[in-house]
Amino acid sequence: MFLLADLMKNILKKIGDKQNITDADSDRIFSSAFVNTSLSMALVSLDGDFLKVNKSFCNLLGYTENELLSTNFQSITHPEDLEEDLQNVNNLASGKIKSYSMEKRYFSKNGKCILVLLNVSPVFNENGDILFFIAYVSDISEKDRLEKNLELIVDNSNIGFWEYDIRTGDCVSSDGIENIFGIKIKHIEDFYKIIHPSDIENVKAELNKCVSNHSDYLCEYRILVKNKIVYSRAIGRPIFDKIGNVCGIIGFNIDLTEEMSMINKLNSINQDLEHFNYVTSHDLQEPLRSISSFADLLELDISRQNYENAARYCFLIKSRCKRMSSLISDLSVYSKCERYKSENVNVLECLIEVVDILDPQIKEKSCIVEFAKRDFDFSIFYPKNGLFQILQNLIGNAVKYDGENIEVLCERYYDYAMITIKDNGIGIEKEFCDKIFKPFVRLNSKDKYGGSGLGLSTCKKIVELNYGNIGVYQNEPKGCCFWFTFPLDSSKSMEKIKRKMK
Amino acid sequence: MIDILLVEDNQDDVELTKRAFSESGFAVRLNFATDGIEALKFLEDSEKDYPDLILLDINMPKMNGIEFLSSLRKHDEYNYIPVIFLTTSESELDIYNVYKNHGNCYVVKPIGFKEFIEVVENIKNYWLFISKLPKKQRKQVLNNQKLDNIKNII
Repeated sequence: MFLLADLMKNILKKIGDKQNITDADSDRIFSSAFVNTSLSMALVSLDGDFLKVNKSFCNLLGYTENELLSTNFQSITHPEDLEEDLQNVNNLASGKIKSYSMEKRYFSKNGKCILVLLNVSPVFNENGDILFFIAYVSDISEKDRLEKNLELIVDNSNIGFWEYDIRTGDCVSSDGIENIFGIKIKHIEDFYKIIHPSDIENVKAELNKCVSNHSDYLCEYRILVKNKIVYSRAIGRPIFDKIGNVCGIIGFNIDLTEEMSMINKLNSINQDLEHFNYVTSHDLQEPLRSISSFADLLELDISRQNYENAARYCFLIKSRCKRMSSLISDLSVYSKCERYKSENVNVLECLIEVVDILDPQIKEKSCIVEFAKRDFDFSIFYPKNGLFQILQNLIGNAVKYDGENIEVLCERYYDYAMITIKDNGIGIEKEFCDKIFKPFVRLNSKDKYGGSGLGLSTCKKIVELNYGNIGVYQNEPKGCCFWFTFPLDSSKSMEKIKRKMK
Repeated sequence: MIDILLVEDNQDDVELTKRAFSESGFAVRLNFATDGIEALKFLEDSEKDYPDLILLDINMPKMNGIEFLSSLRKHDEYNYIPVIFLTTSESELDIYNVYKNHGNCYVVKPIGFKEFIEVVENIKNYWLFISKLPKKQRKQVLNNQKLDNIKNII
């Protein structure tokens, strides 16, 4: 930092030499500059007394000129900064240094702490002795506060700043950019390399638009960072060279990944709800329509005294009523399973209960359900009704869809367990393996196999509400294997999994 | 006598459709498929003796009506066959997708049987109208009523 007052005096002296300006003139010019400048200045004695202060200096500290002239800088300096300041003054006085500048704090008259940047240089007489010091002070407390706040904001947010030189392609960026992008961007090509292929054309077009139209740069795009997709929004504006041409773009990026994943989650929940609504109304309408139409037919036939189909129509009407009723109760199970409470439940007891309930169907189809008792003999913290529903649906399906040998397996891992139900029934084609967990999706007609189309979606809902996964794969040579997982033992591992999922 | 392919997974509806045709005195030969995949197979096996009209449900296992329609319209030989949707769904998205994929009519299955006979009467009139046209033009004749409603919504 150069010293304004000193420089000014020297320049004035030089000009004076050339233009016959006397020392008296030069003093007058300096005084006038000293008084009228908006810079805060003071002349200070070797002991620290204020000899002369200007208006701006008074305003900064809130004292009158007289008040300041009757005191010294030591008395208005923050104690923690005083030692360094005095040391500097000593160094200046002994000629060790020619000038100094430091950040220091003053106390204003009303006791407020003011952070300033202080520059001090000595003024010598003709013999080279120091007459006094010129202090030049600029208030940085407001600026400093803003900078500190900004730093704080930037450090605690997903924001990164950058500058792009369009002539060389060089880029300069803050640590924030590295946090978002995963790498340091030194050149625009580094940046292009990590943008999602579908977004790159748009990014280039937006950058070009900014340069050619002198408009703001605003763009959202995806970046591929270590096999993950990061969503980011960039905001920037062109910067110009001396002759008004765009030479670069300056701006910042915000990480939107969390927001986007929330939005995606919401969208998918909304879609599920919409789908549920759609199929519920469809599937509830169907039996109703049958009932009403067969009743019409019955009426028509009776009016013609044709009783041939009467008994069958009555049977169909009753059967569709039953279907409707079971559909409604399945719907109620589906929507109720969120409210199941966890408790200590023994998996083996639950499994045996399920097999008991399914016994009539198992006997009817004369199939075999096998499981090793010891594998299942342990307790978990789980909704009992939920576990019962899952096992009943999955084993029930294996029986329903013509499995002859049904094998139930349990494998325990560190903090979770997996139950698999293998059958050799009609199986599921590969392309439908994901689809069948959606509500009301069925792969076979109701008339052949019955059911509401809600069983597997109920299972999926219960499993996922309890931090597990569910899936199906094809069994060899025929049939399929349904599996689901659940956390083992108590709330501890549940908490861990919850955290992982977050 | 015309040939109709009824693509429908609900056996109740199959029975009701059969009965409605016989009640209305519209002499048709009905063929059946229970979903889109079976319907496509039926057409493949038809050896050029394709049905004159297809009645199509939307919600079916494996391949739904709209998926079937879209593959039908892409086929070189039988893409001309007029398709009438007969479905429970009143969803705007379904109606939109049907017309987008060049379905001809969209009919919501009625609740009672008498109304079902009326639907069959309408199908008959529609057929009498388009059967006078050359085959290639048939698929372009739409029953636009539903479509206009949809356009207003969109």
